Amino acid sequence: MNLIVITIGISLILGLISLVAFRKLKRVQWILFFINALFQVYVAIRLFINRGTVETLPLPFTVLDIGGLELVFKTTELGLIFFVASIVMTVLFAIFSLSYNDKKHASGISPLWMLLMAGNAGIFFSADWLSFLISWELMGWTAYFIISHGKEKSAKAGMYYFTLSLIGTATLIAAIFIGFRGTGSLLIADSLTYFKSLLRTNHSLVMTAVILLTVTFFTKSAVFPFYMWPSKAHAEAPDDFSAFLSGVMIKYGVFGMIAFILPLFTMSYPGPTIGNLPLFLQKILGAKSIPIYLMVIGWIGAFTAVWGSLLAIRENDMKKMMAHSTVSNIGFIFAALSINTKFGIAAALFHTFNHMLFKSGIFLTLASVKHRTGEREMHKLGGLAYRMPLTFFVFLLSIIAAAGIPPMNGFASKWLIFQAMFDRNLLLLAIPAFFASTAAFMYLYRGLHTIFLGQLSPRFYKVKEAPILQLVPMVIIILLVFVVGLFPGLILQPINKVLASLNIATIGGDMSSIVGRTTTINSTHIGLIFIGAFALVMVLYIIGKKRKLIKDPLDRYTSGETPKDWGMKPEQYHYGMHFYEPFENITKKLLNGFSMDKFFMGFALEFKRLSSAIQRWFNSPQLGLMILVVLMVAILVIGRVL
Amino acid sequence: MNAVLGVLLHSFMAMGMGLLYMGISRKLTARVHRRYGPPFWQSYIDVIKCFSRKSVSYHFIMDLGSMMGLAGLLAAAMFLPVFKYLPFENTSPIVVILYLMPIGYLGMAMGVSASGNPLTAIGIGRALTLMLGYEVPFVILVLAMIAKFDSTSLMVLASKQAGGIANWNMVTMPIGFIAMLIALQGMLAKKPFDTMIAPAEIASGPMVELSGKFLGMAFLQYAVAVFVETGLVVILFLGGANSIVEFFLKQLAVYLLATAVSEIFARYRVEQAIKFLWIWAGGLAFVQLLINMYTG
Repeated sequence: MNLIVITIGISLILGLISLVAFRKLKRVQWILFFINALFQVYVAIRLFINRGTVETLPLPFTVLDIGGLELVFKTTELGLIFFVASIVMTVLFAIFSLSYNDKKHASGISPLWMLLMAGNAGIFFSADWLSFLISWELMGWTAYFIISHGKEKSAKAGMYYFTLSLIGTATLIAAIFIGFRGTGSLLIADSLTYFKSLLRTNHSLVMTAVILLTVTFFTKSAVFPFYMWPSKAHAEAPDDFSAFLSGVMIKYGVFGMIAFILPLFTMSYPGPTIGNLPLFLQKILGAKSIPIYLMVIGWIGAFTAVWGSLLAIRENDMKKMMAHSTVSNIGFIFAALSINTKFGIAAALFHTFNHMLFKSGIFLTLASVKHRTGEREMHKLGGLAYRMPLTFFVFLLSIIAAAGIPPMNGFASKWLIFQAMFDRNLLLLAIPAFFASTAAFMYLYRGLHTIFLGQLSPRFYKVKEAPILQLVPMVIIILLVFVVGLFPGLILQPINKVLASLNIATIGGDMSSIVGRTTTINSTHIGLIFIGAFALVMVLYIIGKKRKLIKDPLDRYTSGETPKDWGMKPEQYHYGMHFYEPFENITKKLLNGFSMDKFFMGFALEFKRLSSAIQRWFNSPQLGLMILVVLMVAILVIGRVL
Repeated sequence: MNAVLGVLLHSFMAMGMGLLYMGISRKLTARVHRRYGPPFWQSYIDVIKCFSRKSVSYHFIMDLGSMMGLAGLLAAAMFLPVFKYLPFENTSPIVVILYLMPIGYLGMAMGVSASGNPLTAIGIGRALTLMLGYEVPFVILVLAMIAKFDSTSLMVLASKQAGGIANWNMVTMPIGFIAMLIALQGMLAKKPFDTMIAPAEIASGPMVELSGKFLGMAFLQYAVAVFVETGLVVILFLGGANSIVEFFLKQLAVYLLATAVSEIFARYRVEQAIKFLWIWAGGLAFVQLLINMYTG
């Protein structure tokens, strides 16, 4: 039974059917989407049991003079773990969307999302470039339409994303052709072996292909210099899809890097390494066998991490802030995977899945907040914890995980990333990583305070807790975050299997402990210690004299003044705008002065000018015709001469 | 059972010793001001008094946050080896302590934010900004330790400095030690880095709405923070200790030094504080890291 082909086919067919037949019945579309997600879970389980499935789908036509063209799908350990994680998240999002898309918020994106799920499966299981390219494109353009979802502002953001996506696809095709020219085969494995064999003889050709592929994955994962699209696309996309964008879609680049690029840079890599640099640089930059190329990727990742957090700190739009935070985390992941040891890859994968969990938790809570209040700017919110306590707790636990604080899951993976860096003596690289990690406290606390704590505006006195169907996936996510935090082995052991399949040594440890380079930690103990300390403090709290609960929001210490006397309202008493003004003042010059966004926009402006100039030629028909004729003659002459 | 007893003992020791250091330093401050000053057990009296007075809470999140605050720091203290005592079998990893302490600060921040007073949020905002200031040099120093000793276990780091004052990191890494002292001033929120409290400006910042047992817990939290942070300095730079009393004395010396320094400085603004910490503490720590990497 061709399970992979069937699941891709079903997603495509269901998507098209619901696009055509149920245009008016949004509810039915979402139910179909949920059913499709459930079916993919079934497929995931079946594939998990029968490891190493290979499926082929012969195509009835010829391309590039290759006869017997076929699409090949294969389950690898790496693809499988990514697929399972993405599907689990999708089911949760599907439950959330069922409730989110009520009459007021219905967006009609589910058919496209179903098509996207076909692309999702295709990307993780493709064994040949053709199906990989098709899936990649399917994912790219469905995401574009979903982000746009019929709104002008969103369409702009979608266009920004799509342009970058096109750059990525162009470089992907170029890289595919380099491999195809050498091997005459479209199988990914053939190309990789070909590149590996060429490393010694034709190093520059391989590096060209590698750089082209890297650009593809950088654009998709929003690594510097393409870090600006999440803040636009994640913010403007439908709220339930933002969680998918940030949780799952941005990880395709991570998958690509590990599957296609890292295998080329093993211990026997003959190209330039840190060992070829001057002695002083060798001493401070890291272990000698690290390829220069990976070192550069690592530093780009670390830079992205720092830059993302600096941008997040000064952002007032809550979805944009969390999008910047995603960029920062992606930077972390790329810094880790560039290390390319067992610690590095394990840490990158571990953080990928942890980030999937906690960032989905954060985005779902934000979606609920927007569902109930309709606001996205943080200074207009405030005090929602008093009305939406469960949502608040999900958000709280998610940001604790995002900050990398034990006993939540973010800690173990951040710790492993640092261990990977210590292992290869990449101590300088650890400085920006720690910086980004500490800066994360700042923007996460800002989200906590400005959205959920502080003063509740009278506008929101009647806000209710999120609907039950939205709470269910959130609570499941948060339980997963907590359980993985206490037992990191739950995810690390499958990752160990991936490492074994990639011929890399595995990470030591069991369900609760991880053996690192410089120490061993036991997450369960850390969690228990915290719980124990909490119990002790609770006893102290109960011993103390009973507290009095005051409900009046304006009855606060104001140095002797009474806010009500001068007509102060609660929302004016909420500290939210320019939260970190002193810090913003420090970073303002830097962030305003150096912006890739501006660079791209300048580029776009020049392009617009050029195209409008060309357009003007054709306003007077004679000029345009003349230019065309001259051009044609010139081309013919040049062609003749050559 | 042993572990539970150990944890309890360790917690009370951390709180008790922290309060003692605070009491003694109050006496020192008073003498610098030419006052007589309160007795050194005043801190204990304060805490007991706080817990026995009426208090006001604005929401149960405030109660929860206050508890989380103290619990996080106590949990961090469990991984700090006092002389050679640990409450339970662990490798005393410094990165865990680094990441457990923020849960205390986050809890505290959450609790006071729930009170709805904008002054608290301003104070916390400043505190977190400052945290970015002092964490960077401190982390660079930890990296310098890794470059030299290839370990993040506090036990191992202490044992590597055994055998007399000449082996202490204070002597072998003097540049790093100066950076550590500057960063410590920020960690303890002492002048010139006490903008988050700034009594005359934002009315004690985070503490403005705390009363009764909430204030008591904030006191205890600060006491544990003092215990952990001075303990870290003792282990990282003052060669650990050969007995438990020596450990306490060294902690007290470090804390009194910080207090004395704090009395002769005025307060920096937030951006000034961050720039000072990054440029001076961070710069010195970075030099130490480069030296350690080059020689190590």
